[in-house]
Amino acid sequence: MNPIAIVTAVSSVLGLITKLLPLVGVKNTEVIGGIVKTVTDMAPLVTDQIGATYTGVKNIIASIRSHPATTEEQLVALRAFNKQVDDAWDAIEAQLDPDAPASA
Amino acid sequence: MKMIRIIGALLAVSLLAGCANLSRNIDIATGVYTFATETTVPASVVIPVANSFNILKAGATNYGRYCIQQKMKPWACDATFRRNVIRAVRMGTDARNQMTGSLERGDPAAASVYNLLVSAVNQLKSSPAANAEFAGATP
Repeated sequence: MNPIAIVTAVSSVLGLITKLLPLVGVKNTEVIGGIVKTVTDMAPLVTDQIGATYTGVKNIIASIRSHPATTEEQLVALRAFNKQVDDAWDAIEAQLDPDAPASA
Repeated sequence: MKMIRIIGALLAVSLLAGCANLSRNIDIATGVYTFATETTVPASVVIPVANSFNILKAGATNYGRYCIQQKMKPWACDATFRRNVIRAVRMGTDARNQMTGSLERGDPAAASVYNLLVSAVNQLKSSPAANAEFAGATP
């Protein structure tokens, strides 16, 4: 599937869930559970191609579940995500910086 | 009858309070952040902001690649924009690394550093690097 189509579809679903969630009754744990399952099931669709969207999905899952403490899994994912974006940025920063010696 | 009305009103109030709390959680997940006024912030608050920063930094990288490819000609690649993006990325990366280090050591994360991260997120969100063509999904 086209990555842009995946981003669009996932973003639409996330947006819809965000709009609908405040309408769910506070005691309706069954509905919340269903939403968590839907979002969790959707996550593997985007893990390979769109890390950013996947992380957004994970954020929503974590917030819905209201974790009282950080899990080791969250820290490992954060560390991996940090390294991924840092490496990509480091590769282009010097060329982008108008004040870097090489750009002058 | 009066008692039923009172119970009904109490239920409505508790439902509304629950919805407000849930709504705030979703705001955190989707990237609407406010500055902390406490001394420290919990990991459950730090991680979504750090992830949002990373999403925006990935967008800044795509923006950088685009500008390099276009030889800095588009208006969005003006030196002023690039300086702002680079400054926000550097500030946010430093703050994120400090916060991640605190979490991994099990220490509370300082609100002053958290607020720097929120500033970086807000600056990047108002920069060309946050455009959908670079950042993909809304962080």
